[in-house]
Amino acid sequence: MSAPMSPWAILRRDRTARACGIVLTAIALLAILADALPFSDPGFVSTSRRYQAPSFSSVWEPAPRAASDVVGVWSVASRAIRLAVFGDYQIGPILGTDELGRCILSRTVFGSRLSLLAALAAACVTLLVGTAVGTWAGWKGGRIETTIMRCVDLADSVPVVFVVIFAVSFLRASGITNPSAKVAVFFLTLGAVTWITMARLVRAHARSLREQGFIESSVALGLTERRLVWKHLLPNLVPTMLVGMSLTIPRILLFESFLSFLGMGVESPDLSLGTLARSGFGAFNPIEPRAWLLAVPGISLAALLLALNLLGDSIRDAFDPRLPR
Amino acid sequence: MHLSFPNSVTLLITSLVVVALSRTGSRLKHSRPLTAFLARRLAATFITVIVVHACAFALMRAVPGGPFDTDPRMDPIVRANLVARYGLDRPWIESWLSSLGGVFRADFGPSMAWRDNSATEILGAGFPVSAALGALALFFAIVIGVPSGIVAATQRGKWIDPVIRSVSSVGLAVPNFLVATVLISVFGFGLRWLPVAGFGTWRHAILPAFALSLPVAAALARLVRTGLLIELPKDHVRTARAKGLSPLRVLWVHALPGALGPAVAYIGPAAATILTGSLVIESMAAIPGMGTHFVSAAMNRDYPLALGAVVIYTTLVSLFNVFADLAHARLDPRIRL
Repeated sequence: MSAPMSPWAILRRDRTARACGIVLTAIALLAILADALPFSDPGFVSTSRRYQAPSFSSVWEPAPRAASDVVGVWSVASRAIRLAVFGDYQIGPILGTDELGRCILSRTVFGSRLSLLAALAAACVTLLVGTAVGTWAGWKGGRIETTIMRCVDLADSVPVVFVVIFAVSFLRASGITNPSAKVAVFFLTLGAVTWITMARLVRAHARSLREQGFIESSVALGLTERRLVWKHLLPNLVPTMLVGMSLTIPRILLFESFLSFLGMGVESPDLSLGTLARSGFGAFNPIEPRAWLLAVPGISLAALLLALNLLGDSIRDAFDPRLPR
Repeated sequence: MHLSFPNSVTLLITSLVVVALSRTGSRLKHSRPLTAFLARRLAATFITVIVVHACAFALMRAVPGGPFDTDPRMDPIVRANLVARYGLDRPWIESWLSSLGGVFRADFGPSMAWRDNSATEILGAGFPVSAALGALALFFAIVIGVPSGIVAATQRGKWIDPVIRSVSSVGLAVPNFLVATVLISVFGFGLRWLPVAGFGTWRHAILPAFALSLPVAAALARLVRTGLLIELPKDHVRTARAKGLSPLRVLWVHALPGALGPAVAYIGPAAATILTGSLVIESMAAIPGMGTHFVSAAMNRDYPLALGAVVIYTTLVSLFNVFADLAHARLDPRIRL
């Protein structure tokens, strides 16, 4: 009998995981490099082009002068690259335009940026807070563990979305006017509610590791606690963290789009997939459905979530071989 | 006595829950201290509600400026009277205690946006509507999800298993509001089979309930499938098959009870999922349920109404979790309450 494959090897062989990895990398690259690619300005208003259906009549067209100011080293560099590679041209509104004649394709690309940023920010909070609390509880044991886990239990029986909506609505009213501060508050609120899953998973694993021989022998060798936790405990917790992230990231994306769809998340002029879906639904009517307004951001969001979920399933299957496939 | 559609569904579900609970009680009477379990869990629910109420209240009070500051034309005397009427001028501990006392008397105070109604009246009017919608969604989820899971597990390796698995992956991933839009445009606007929005008859409830049920159905299908795949190779199932029992009886009597455990324990999270989904679905389809009221209350800074809704939602989710644990213990005697 051959030696069991490592989870990483299983993951690399998994065709679904590979496909999802490619899709996700492509989406991420599109979002990161959006400034350097020939998309039209997502805020560029063109009243002569209101509610244009998707068409290939103008695939490659001269770019109008940029309306918005270019700030930041990254954006300036991206613009320079764009100018050098693509010249003064842009992709036309091949996926249609909205009520102000803005290109839906470019709005979706730039909208996915903020959605992904939300997921990234909240995922960082989750990773830091969840792992810290979980490791601490699992390692220390005793009364600390009981107290922490009681709090986690309590937080778990709360319908988080309602609390988030409540928090967001009152934080919005609290007079924060700086748009990036608003977005930051929104991201942090999302992260503040999703760390619990991670803490729970990490605690359970840390606790089972504490009982194992290699930890006991490290203790017997007289390692300091800090070294033990950093060098021996945390590296072994990485798979659990990965599983936790695979559960958390799609959840945050769904949350973000959900709240933005309700009109409580990202606010105009900022764009996210949720706000785009919201305006698409707002423009929807049976006489002139204008389905592209909803379909383009909607399908992008669905594809992103599906890829994340499937990749998460593969990660869990690879790292938890007890479950039948 | 005439019962409206929402009220009759609520009544039906309540009686089902009562029956299930009483049967659980009779089964467990001799083996486990059910009352001790219930007392412990209800106490925990109580504490959760108090903590959530306190957090929400603190958040409300921490925000500078009151809900009446937005109207610049308002007479200062009128404003002072309004602030006094809603108890916003009292010290926060006093007003927190009186608000908490009100919660346990199901009195959430006067609504700030609908000045003629109390928050309890508004939530009370929305509750049966949301309960009917949620119950129907849960029903759809079970009827769709559990059989799909059984089929996928028993037909493993055939074409139907990957189909069910893919569909459930999609159902889990795609947001409710997208599904609802597609359903409304196809069955409402396109085929004109069902009404697009509003509420009143059972026909209004079908599309929103179906949209709400999909993620839960997908999760159930997965849980049942995994549960059965673990249970089917076990010795007792093999013995039952070896005795010559019909495949249906083996499945129904010997494999399913053990396999359904995780799915039954999922009732609690399922309730949370459906409640969450109801926020956006109710708002989209203009259904006058609690979700619509909660969203508009959060938008209008209607403190008492939003606070009342959060308390009710928290209580509901906690109670569903207790119920799920009870049902799980009834199904699987290895589970200690």
